[in-house]
This record gives sequence, C-alpha cells and structure tokens, in this order.
Amino acid sequence: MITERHYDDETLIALAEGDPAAPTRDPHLQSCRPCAETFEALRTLPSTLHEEAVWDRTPLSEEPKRETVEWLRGKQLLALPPEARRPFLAAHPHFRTPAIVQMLIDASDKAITRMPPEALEYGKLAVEIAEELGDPMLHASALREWGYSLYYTGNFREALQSTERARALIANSGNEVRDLGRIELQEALILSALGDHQAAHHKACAASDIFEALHDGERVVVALRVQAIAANRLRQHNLALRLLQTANDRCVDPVARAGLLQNIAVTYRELGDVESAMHYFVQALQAAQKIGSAPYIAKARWHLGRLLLSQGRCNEALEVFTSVREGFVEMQMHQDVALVTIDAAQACLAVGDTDSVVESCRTALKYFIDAGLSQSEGCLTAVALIREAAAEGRLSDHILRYARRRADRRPRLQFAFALD
Amino acid sequence: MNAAVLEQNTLEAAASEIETHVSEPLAPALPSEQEDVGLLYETYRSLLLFVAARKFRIPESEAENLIQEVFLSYLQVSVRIENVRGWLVAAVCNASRHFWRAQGRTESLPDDIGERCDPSSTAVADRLALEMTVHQSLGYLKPKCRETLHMHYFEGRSAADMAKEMNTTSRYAEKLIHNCLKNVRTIYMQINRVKR
Repeated sequence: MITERHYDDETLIALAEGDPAAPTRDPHLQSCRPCAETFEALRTLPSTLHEEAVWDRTPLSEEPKRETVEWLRGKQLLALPPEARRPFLAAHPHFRTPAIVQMLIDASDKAITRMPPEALEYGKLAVEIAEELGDPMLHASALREWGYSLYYTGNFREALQSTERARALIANSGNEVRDLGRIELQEALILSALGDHQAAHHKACAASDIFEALHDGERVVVALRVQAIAANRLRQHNLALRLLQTANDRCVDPVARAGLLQNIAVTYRELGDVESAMHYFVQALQAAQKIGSAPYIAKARWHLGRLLLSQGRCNEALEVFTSVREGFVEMQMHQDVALVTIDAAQACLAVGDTDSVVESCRTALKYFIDAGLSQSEGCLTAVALIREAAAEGRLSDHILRYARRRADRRPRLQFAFALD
Repeated sequence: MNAAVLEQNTLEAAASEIETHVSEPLAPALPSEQEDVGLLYETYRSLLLFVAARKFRIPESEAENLIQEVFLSYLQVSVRIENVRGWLVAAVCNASRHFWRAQGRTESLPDDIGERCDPSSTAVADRLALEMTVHQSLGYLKPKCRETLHMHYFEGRSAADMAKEMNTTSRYAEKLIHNCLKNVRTIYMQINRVKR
C-alpha cells in the first residue's frame, strides 16, 4: 500500500512565514498539489485581512434552507426531458420526497391548460413517487390530479379509475371534507363525459353543497358549471343557463370565466339564440386569448366554426376548422383532432368539395397512425370511413353522423363540442 | 436577471483549468450525469452568501433570492460545467452587480462596485473561498488578537504606531502581530481540515 505523506500544519506555516524563496526550492511542494494549495492559501492569507468582507460581523444564517433544497430539486426534475426523469430518479432516489410530489402536482395543475401532455406526464410521475412514499393523502392528491389530466385529454375511463382510487384513499384516511368535495366534482365531470348525466348532476350538486358550507366560492363556481353541463346534456337548457349565469356572477378566476363564457355560448346555441351564442363565443375567445391558454383558444374557435357552419358560412367555417385541427395535433388531443376533421368534412360536403374531404382525412389518418393509435380506435375508424365515402362519391350527412358517433364512442370532452 | 447571470457562462474556470481544457470543446451535459442541485446548494450556499452579502453587501434575504436564481440558471446551462464552484461564484458576482445596477436606479451604488469581484480575474472562486474561511477563523480569535490584526492589516497602522497606543515597544507590537497571524493561520488550517 502506498501512503501519501504531506507536510503538517506547523511545517506549512513555518514555510509561509520564512524565506520567500524556500518554497520554490522545496521538492515536496513542487510535486504535491494538496500541500502546494494549502501553502499558497497560508501565504496569501495576510492579504485577505485587507478586505472589508472578512471583518464584517453582520450575522448571516448558516444553515441551507431545507425548503430551498427541495424546491431546487423539484426544478431540476421538471427541467429534464420526460424520458430522462425516471433514470434520473433511479440515480437519485433521495429526490423521492413529499415536497417533490407536491411540486409535480402543482406543475401538472399549471400545465393542463397550456400543454396537456406535459401535465399528464407530471401527474403520472407524481403518482408513482407518492405510491412509493406511502402517504395516503399525498397519494390521493396525486391520483386526483392525474385523474383530472386524464379527463382533460379525453382518457375518461382511466380518469375515473384514478379518481376512484383517490376517493378510496381519502375515505380510509379520515374523510377530509374538502378533498371529498373535490373528488365528487371530478367524478361529476368524468361521468358527464361518459354520458351518465343524471349521476353527474347529482354529484355536482353534492359537491356544490360541500363547498358552500366551506365558503369556497371558487369551487362553488366549478360545481355550478358542472351541474349546468349535466343539465345541458339532459336537454334542460334553461336550467343550465340559470346555473351558468349564477356561476358567472360569482366567478373571479379568469381561467374559469373563459370556460364559463364558452358554456353559456353553447347553451344559447342549444336554445336556438344564435345572436347571443355568437356574442358569448366571441367573449369566450377574447377571454381565452387573455389567459393565453392554447386549448381554450382552440376550443372557442372551434365552437365559432360550428356556429358559422350552422349559418351556412361554410368556407369561413372550414378555414377555422383547419387551423383548429392543427392546434389539436400540436397539443396531442387526439379525439378533438378526429371530431374537428368530421366537422371539416361536413363543411366540405356542404360546398360540394369531396376531394378536400379525402385529402384532409388522409392527413388526419396519417396523424393517428404516426401517433400510434390502433386501428380499433373510434377516431381512426370514423375518419377512415369518411375518406372512403368521399372517395367513392357517397359522402352524406348520414355518414357524417355515423362517423361522429364512432368517434364519440370514447365520450367527448365537455368543453369541446356541440351538444348533438 | 437570468440573462445577466448567463452572460458569463463561458468563463470563470481557474487559470490552470483553463489551460488544461482550452482545446477541448464543451460537451453537452447528459441528464443522467447531472449533479444533484440540492447538494450543490448545500455545499456552496455559504460561499455564495459570503460573496453576495459580504463582498457586495446585499441584504441577506435578497442575497438568498439571488443564490436561488443562480442555481436556476445553472440548471439551464446545456453544456457540462467542469468547475462548478467557479461558475457559481462568477454567476453570483454577476447577479450581485446586476442587483446593484437595478437598485442604482433609485439608490446610489456602493463607491467601489466596479472593483468588486471581477469575474475575468483568475482563481476568483479560490480567493473568495479563502476569504470566507478567514472570516470564519477571525470569529474564533480572542478579541485582543482580532483587534490587533484589524488595526495592522485593515486600518493599515504600523507596529510603531500600535506600540504607542498600547504603551509598549515596537518589538512587542511586532511579536503580537506575528503571533496573532499565526493563530489565525492555525485556526484556518483546523477549519480546512474539518472541511476535508
């Protein structure tokens, strides 16, 4: 075994205080880097005593802030590309903390209206880490957030499963009322999207009562909105309008208001009041642009497009549908890509341009195939059907309605579409 | 502010490291190779706080915010940083200058702001780390020793001048200065040994 020998403290101090030329002749200092560095520091130490900073005795905190350590780690994890996060966590298991889980949950919540795929990924990671940590409330929180992201991106069955798992964890941990209220609300949203509007209405009412009792005005607005959506699905449009207007009067959150305005517009359209519908769709679009949410903007424009189509302004509608579809492709909102393609096909049919139908369906099909969607997906089937019909010159409203039902077999996003 | 921090992300290695690596292109940092930024914060916070709060006289709460910004900027650097300490020190120097420039719109800047911590000088981080350890060492000295060193090195008073004030001989004053310096060097070595 080779043992490194170094100069002791006394020797180094003596050298620093001695003949200035001696160190340059010392063979050990010339060859040993650690000793040379320490010697250099000792030699230059007196010069530091001229600096004001070394004499400043203002007390400063000495301990690193724990919350800053966690916060920076969270930022580091979020900054990694998605495919790098799990390998990084495997290499740094101490990153798996409740604080990191909460940061992922918060990041998912912030990302959902800007970039839904990112939100999904954050949520999924939060669930994985929370599950390992074994804290039931944290795990429930992560499952709920992930469930919402799944719902928002059209994965309704998985969303319901995730939300139900969250409910079970909360129920086993003492039934925190506010958390249960949020679960009720989320389940209402998902059930509505799955077509069980009565159950959705019931759950939304229950959630509204919980949040009224807790004086949580923001969530009361959400609950009213969900009740309204369910009422619309049950064709109770006047009730829906009253609920939405009450929600709008109480709403202070600009993001929620953007969604509310769109819901009001859709309701007016269902009531046949085109003028009011147009007014509120324009307001919804302006609100969406103000908050800078790409999905909201796309959906608001999509609704405007459908209104234009219903008024026979087919070329304008087609222009809107084409640009909206590009936005949905970018945001990987698969079902909406299919549905807007069907709308575009309807506009083309109305102007007698079946060649464009074939071309736009070909583009949509390529997107689905490249995105890895299987042939059994309703969206893919629906679009293929339209393309085939258009190519054979037999495209009709009947076929479009059938195709829409095929695409809608995975039920629709509540915000996105007409209440056919 | 991040632009101000990042404007120096190509410099600040110690001179010897620059000579070693000057011909090597900067490799991209792989995510799996990234160091734990929390650990880096724990390791270097004291030094960075010393720079911001003592060298640049930024209030501690603001200095802490600057340090966090520096670490966020560190996370954004896409190339591998060989001398992390050097990079962080230079970044906090730039951030501190930027802070005072912004403050300068409403308050006057410290007179010597231009001379503080020029990040283009070599071995800045080593020097600042030395200063920080000396600062710590002075805290362990007896008050009389600390006062002796303060009078001689910081106030610039000669041994003869100090002897008059202490009502003693110049020789005694010189010996006192020498012993106090030796004490601080010994304490410095002990602190460094603990750190290693």
